[in-house]
Amino acid sequence: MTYETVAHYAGSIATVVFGLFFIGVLIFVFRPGATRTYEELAKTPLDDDEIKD
Amino acid sequence: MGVTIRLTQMALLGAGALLSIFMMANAVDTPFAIHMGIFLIAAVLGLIFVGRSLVGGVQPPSQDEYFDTVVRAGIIATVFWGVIGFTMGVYIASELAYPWLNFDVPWLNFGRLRPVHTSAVIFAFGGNGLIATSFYVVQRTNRTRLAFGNLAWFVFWGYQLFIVLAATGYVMGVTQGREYAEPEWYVDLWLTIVWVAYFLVFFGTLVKRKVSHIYVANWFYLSFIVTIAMLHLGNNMAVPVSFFGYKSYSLFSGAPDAITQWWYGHNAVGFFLTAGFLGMMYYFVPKRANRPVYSYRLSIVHFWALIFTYIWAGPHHLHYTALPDWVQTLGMVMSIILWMPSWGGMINGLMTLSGAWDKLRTDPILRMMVISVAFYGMSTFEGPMMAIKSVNALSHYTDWTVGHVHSGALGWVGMITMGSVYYIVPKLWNRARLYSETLVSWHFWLATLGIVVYASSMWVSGIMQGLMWREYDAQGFLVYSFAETVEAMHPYYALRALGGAFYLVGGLLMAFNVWQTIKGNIRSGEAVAEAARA
Repeated sequence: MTYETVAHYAGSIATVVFGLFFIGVLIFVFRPGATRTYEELAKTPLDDDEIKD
Repeated sequence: MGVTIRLTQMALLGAGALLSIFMMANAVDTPFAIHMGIFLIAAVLGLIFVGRSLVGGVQPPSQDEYFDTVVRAGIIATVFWGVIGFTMGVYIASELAYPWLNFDVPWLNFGRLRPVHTSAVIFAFGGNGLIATSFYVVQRTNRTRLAFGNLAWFVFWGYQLFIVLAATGYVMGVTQGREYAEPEWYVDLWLTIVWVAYFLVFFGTLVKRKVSHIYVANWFYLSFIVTIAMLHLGNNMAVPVSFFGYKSYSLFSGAPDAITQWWYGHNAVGFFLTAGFLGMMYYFVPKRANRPVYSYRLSIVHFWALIFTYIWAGPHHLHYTALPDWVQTLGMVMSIILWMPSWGGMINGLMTLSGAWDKLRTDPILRMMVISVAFYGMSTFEGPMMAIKSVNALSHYTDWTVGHVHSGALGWVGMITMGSVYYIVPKLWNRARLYSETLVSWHFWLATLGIVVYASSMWVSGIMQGLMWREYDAQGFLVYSFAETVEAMHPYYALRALGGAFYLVGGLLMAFNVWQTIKGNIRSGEAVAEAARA
């Protein structure tokens, strides 16, 4: 195997891996039942003036 | 334990001081000797400071309070360097319109002052703003104090030292000639040390967080810190001619060197000027509007889409060069794809105001944040368009590019930073309100008008310049000489300097307003007028 073939396959594999990762992120983020969780998280900055939670 | 740490710090500073003396004594050129002298001064100041706190026996700070003193210093530095950077910008813009301002001395030459301006606004103003707000945001959204004690102070002062070394170097002609990465090898090494410390403080704080979820603003800040580290190391691989002199040569040559520079250059835009400031947006816009983020789902998709795409966009700076054609096309396509995550972020920022749009009427700080997001949307539309090869054939090497950069930098980066500064200053110094919101309103209009004048004069000048360059007559000869294009651009250069001056005056108003707020003053009549309105 030459450097060129390795580089070629590595590039293709990385593209597929990152593509799948991104699709996985989409599926995870839009999973049903998470709406309430994300609504709560969206409020994170609003109440943080002191360290105690 | 505190004593051991302080003695270790003093030993390190002492070793640094001795090393500086050794390097200075063996220096082969004057700028290097001067820079080692600056290192020496910094080490001695550090020794005095740590020594005094050792003698004074300072109490260890409470872990139940946020570490805000370093944030305060960072905000003051942001405002200070902002005014310096804007002033430099107006000066070099004036030099282009009126070249006698060079005064025929090398130190004031446009070529040397231009990186002073770019580094001052990007790294000194923007960088201090990012470091300070990231320290503020990471503590609050994770409900914990900054990690590693006073290491945050090392980050702050180490970063100021980097800025001083970079700026003094440019004026003396010390440069690697790499866009947005002009400092030479020893300054790069110093920044690497500071940046690792910055990463440790930020990441350490995330590790000891008291909430389970890491809020999205921190993701953007962290991606900015990590990617800048990677870019800095990749782009600055260079071999010094002597370990006692400033000059170094890049490890790469030709087209690989060019693409390395723009891999760095465009990701400095993507991860320094975009991801970092998006972190700012995702905290300060909800905070100021007192509304939750419009869609937290969108913010996560926005994050991953942005960081996966941005890293590929650099080749659009090298269209029609010796760079392989497929790399150019890849860069163009990725730049166009980038439009989508950018606008996803813009929509998320703007729609965070839903239910609070009326506040834009009364709150000039929120107005400033919103116009910054609007400019973000505008410049991230313009950028992908300019990355298209056929558009780039007209726009490349012209003032259009300069105008585009400034609508992003003055509009998006400047306005979100200054809006956050106005929000954060009364909080940090426990003041009921700013000295004057009327002055914020003045700042807002001066800055907006300045950007509009700047960008529109550069559109006209740039497109005219591009069209004049490509104008052929019937025999196939070029119609215009280079000097004729320069002459035609003069009025737009004068207008550009005027637009910059408006922006600078706004910056001076901010400095005054922040200073008065820190002193605890309230402009006479304002509180009364507000109470009457409410």
